[in-house]
This record gives sequence, C-alpha cells and structure tokens, in this order.
Amino acid sequence: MKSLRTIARTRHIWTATLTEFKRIWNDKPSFIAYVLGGPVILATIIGFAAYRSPQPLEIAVFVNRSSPSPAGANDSTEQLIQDLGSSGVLSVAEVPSLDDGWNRLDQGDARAFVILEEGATGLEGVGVTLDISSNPMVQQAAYNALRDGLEKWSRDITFKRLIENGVPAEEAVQIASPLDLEWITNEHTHIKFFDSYASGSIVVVVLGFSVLYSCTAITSERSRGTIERLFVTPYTKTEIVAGKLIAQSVFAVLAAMLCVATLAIVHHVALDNIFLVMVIAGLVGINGVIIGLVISSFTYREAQSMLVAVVTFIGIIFLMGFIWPPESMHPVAKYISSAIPFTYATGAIRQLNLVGAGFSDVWQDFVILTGSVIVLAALATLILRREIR
Amino acid sequence: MPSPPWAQSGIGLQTHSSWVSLTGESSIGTIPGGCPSSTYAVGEEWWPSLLGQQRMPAHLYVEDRRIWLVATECNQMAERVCATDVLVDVRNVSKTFGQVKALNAVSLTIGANEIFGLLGPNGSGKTTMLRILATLLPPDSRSIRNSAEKVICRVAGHDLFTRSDEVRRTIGYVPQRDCLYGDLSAQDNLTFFSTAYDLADKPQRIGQLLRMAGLYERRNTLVSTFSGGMMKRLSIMCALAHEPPVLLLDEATVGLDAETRRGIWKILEELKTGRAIVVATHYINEAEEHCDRVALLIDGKVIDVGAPTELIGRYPPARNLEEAAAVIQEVHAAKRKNKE
Repeated sequence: MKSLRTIARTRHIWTATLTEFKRIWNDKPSFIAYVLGGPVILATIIGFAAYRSPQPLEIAVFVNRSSPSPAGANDSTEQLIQDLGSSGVLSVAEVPSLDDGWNRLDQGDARAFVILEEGATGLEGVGVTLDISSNPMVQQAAYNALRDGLEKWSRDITFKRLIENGVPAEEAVQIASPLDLEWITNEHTHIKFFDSYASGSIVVVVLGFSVLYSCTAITSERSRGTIERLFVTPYTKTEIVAGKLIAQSVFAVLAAMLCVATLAIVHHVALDNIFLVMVIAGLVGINGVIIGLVISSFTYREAQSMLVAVVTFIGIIFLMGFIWPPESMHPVAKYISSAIPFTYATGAIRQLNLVGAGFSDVWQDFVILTGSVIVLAALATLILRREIR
Repeated sequence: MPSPPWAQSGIGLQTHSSWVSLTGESSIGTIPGGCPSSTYAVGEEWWPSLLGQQRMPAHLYVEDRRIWLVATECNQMAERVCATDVLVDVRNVSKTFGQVKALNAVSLTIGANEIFGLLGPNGSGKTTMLRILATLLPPDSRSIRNSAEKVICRVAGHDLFTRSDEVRRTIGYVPQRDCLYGDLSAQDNLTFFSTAYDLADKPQRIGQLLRMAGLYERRNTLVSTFSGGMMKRLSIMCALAHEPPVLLLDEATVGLDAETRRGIWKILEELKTGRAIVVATHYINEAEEHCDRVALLIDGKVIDVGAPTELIGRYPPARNLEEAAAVIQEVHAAKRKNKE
C-alpha cells in the first residue's frame, strides 16, 4: 500500500515537473531571456563594466636613501615606483619620512606602506605593511603587483651593485637574484584584478535570474486561476512545489553554466576548477529558485512577488560579502550574513577561482548550499496555503 | 400504530404494506408509497429498517428529492440511507471573512441525477458555497451552539471537515475563469489534471474527453489560441477526467455567446445521469430552463429552494423564475429594512 502511494507520488511529481518544463519551454521569449540571453548578456556587461574596478589601492612608499647606495639605484627605485603606479592595481605616493608614511596609513590616506632600503652592502631591508585590504582576494592582487615590482627592483639594484664592484655584465646577470621575499598569501600568479569580482558576479547573476523568474511561479497561477483548479485535485502541496522546483532548477543550472562559461570565454577569468565552480553556481541557481518559490507561496499578486523578490535579492547582495566583506559588517549584519547560503557560495567560488582550492576545501559550503535547498523547499510547502479567497 | 411485518432484510424503508430497498441503484424518485418526487409526504410515519433488525419509528420527510429523518435516534441511520443518493449534504454551514458573513447557516441537500442551480445577486455567497464544497475554503468551525444547529458538510458521503482528501477525489470543479494552462496544448492540460487521479486507462479517457469536447482534432494546439467556448468545454472536461459523482461549476456560461451557452448546457444535461451538478449562475432564465432545482441566496442565506416551477408558483404574480427571484429579493429587502 505504502509502495503504491510512493509510486503515485513519484508519478505526480514527474508529471508536475514535465508540465512545468513544457510551460517554460513553450514560452519562448521568457525561456530565451531567462536561460540564454539574460545570464550571458549580464555576465558580459558586468565583466566590461567592472574591468578596472575597484580603483587602485593607495600605497605610500618611503625610500631610505640615507645610506650609500649603488650608482643607479635611485633610478631603479624610481622605476619601481613608476611600475607600481602603472600596474592598475596600486596608486603610489612617495613619502619623505618613515613617520609620514605611518601617519598616512593611520589616517587612511594610504592602505599600505612600503619601506625600501637601498643599503650600501646590499638591500638591507624591504618592509611591506600588510594592511592593504580586508578582502583577501584584493590583497592577493596587490601582493602580486608588489611582489613582481619588488623582485624586479631588487634584481636591478643587485645587478648595478655587482657591475659597480667590477663583475662583468654577463656574470652579473647570472648572479643577480631577486630578494627572497616571504609572502603570507598563496602563490596564485594569474589573478587579474577583475577576477575577484567575477566570482561574486556569478552568484549575483545566477541568483538574480533564478529568484526573479521563480518568484511568480505560484503567484501567476493564482492570477490566472489555475491554482484554484490545481488545489481541487489530489495533487499535494509537496508535489506542486517539487514539480516547480525540479523543472525550474534544470533551467537555473543551465543558466548558471552559461554565466560561468561567458566569464571564462569573454573575460578570461581565472578558473582553476571550472567544474566545481559550475556545480556551486548550479546550487546557487537552485537555491534562488526555491527562494523565489517561498516568496511565491505567501504573496498573492505578481507585482507583490516581484517587489519582495527584488528587496530580498538586493538584501542578499549587500550581505553576502560581494560588495562589503563580512568582517567589515556590523555584528548583527555579520550574523545575518553567516545565515545566508550565498555568502558561502561567494566564498567557495572565490576560493576555487582565485586560490586554487579543491573540493576538500569547499565541501562544507556544498553541504550548506544543499541543506538550504531542503530546508527552503520544506518552508515553501509549509507556507503554501491550500485556500482561495 | 401496529408494527408491520418485516418483509426483507437489508437497508431499506418499511411502510405498512411494503418494503423498498434503498441500496445499490435505488433512487429517491422511487421512494416507497410511490411518492412522486415533486409531492410532499411531510410527517408521514415510516419504519426505517437497517438490516431488518432495528425497528425505530421515525418521521421521514420527503420534500421534492430530499429525505430527512428527523427522529434524533435515527440520525445515524438516516445518513446511511441517504448516502445512497444524496451527494451534497450541507447543514448550518457558515463562512465569515473578517466582519463579513459570506454564508449564514446555509443548508442544502443535492441528490444524484440533478442539476442544481445556485442563484443570487453578486456577493450573495454562491462562489463561497462552491469553494467550500470544492475544499478551497474551510467552513467556519463546526462548533455546536445547540444540538439543533449541528454543522454538517458532506460531499459524496465524505465529511469535508475531516476527509477533504477523499472529497477531492469525488468532485470535479470548473472555476469561473477557464483556469487552463494557455502555454500547454489541450491534451497536455488534460494529461496534467488527470494524472492527479491515477487513472488506469488515462490515454483512452483523455481521448474520450477530447472527443466529447469536440477538440480531438485540435488536441495538440496551444490552449491560448482557443476561443472562449473551446476553453470552457476543455475546462469542463478537465474536471471530468476521473468521472466525479459531484460536478461544481462557477458561472459556467458567463461571457459566452448564446449558441455556445446552449452547447455547454447540453453537455451538462448529458452528464447529469448519476451525478449531482451544482451550477452557480447569474443567468436565471438558463437556470429555469436547465436546472432541476435552484436555491436563491441573498446575503449569504438560502431564501428559498425548489424546482423552478415550484418557486414560480410560490411567488405570484411571477410568470417566470426571474420575476420570482425579483419578488423574493424585494421581500427580503423589505424584511431587512423593517429589522433595521
């Protein structure tokens, strides 16, 4: 008896899914906008719009020229400052004293302070203040620019010092080595500045489309009246919600994959583990669909659903660590942020994209995203009232 | 009055001279004593028997096609006997939305083989009544103020308060709007709604319904391209997939041209055998022509019930149901004014 009921339920869910699938497929303009056009176009636009964003980080550089330095070292230092300034990542200002540099850092005029020493017996010290950004991905990009610049600078100065000491140029090239710098961050070398934003953009685009599309899934049935007929049939609330969730999730996952592919192909975003990124983006899409269904379960008009969906969507963007990192949030906002599954999705995609993380690093985020689908699906079923007024 | 000899065993009614079984296919129209369906036998004493063992005298009221057993000790038996033919049994049902009483202690009994019209002005409670029967709205609590006001709401023998899942399997509901998926074909619409009932011969049944609606040739066409009449026909067929004993229609013919309306009524008349068809409508002339009985609702109350010809006769000088309804409304308005 129980197994018969299970078979019937499975058949109901399958039919409800197939019906919803056909409806989306038959509504060609919405299908094209939702699955094909929208995510691709938006991912492309975001890529171009945020290409140089954010503005370069301000850093202060103090060059200690009090001790004798090799001839031409000054030129190398000037070149370093110029290179850092033109990297597009850092905006460099030379300061006349150590105190001045620390003051600029304390007052927030600079977000990093670099101390360069052109010592008489070689490079006596290069200090870099690490308080560049609370966003680890932005930190990483700045570190990369600094490291590349400093290594070139130290190599140039060592080379000049060797020449000054009578070492032949060919030999000096062989000997001159960059500074042995110790960096706290990872060694990912291919990060472009946009990449850290691209990770969040995947979540924003996929979430936006899935929430805004699915938020009217039940409300439109209310306004058309089909829900009235549906509620009179033996279809259960679970079957109704499951049918919509499964069908819309298929399209959401497809949209997520297209979005990731667009960023990779059009903007050459560094994607170390594109498969895992797509899986997480797909889970974001499914979560977006179910949030839309929750909204659709308690709203009664399409305009109402859209309004609630837009507010929810914007709220999530503010709190998921895309614009402002969670560590800079008010404790209450930080707490809410930690309860949003998309915070974990953003973090996981950033880790996969930029830090070269693997599944073992992000499995907890997978669990959270999958768990939230189950919890939200149960919530949508509970909220949906089998009642027409 | 001497007890008569018991003729047979089984569920039936025992008169002084005869015994008539009420099981199986027996209909209220052939009630013992040969009472024609339109005559009253109020207060006449009958001896109902259950399995030929109980002998409980009770007053059986036969009004039109409704059976009422009044003796309280026989209530249970009465329900069992009536269940063979009474498909909608509503007593003292109310529905309140905030401060507005949409239905006020409504009682209706609707039997098989009849088209029952719910008439009344806008806001009188017709749609609310249908939605309650369709399980879309819960009636107000069945709390009993006193024993005489027991709230009963049964559809096809199932209690709507406790067995709404079973009720859904026994009703077909045609909402006021067509309520079809315009982005699906006629066949897809029927497939979707019929799957809910786990029919054994679904493809055959769908083909049969499409033919009945005259839409077989256009079964693969998107419903959004259909005319109003085609949509309404399909809408009725979607409600009939599981051959429900109770069919509820809200404004079935509204917004359709005269010929299409006639076509819809023809379909309903063909469907009424073995079914209770409840139609809420504004078109009183159509109700007069096609309904076997009608109830007039005003301000959430049933003002009068009966066959159209009876109602016309009760409210002289009305010559038709529309005029009778107008008289009833005037009388009701005057009563309300006096109360105020």
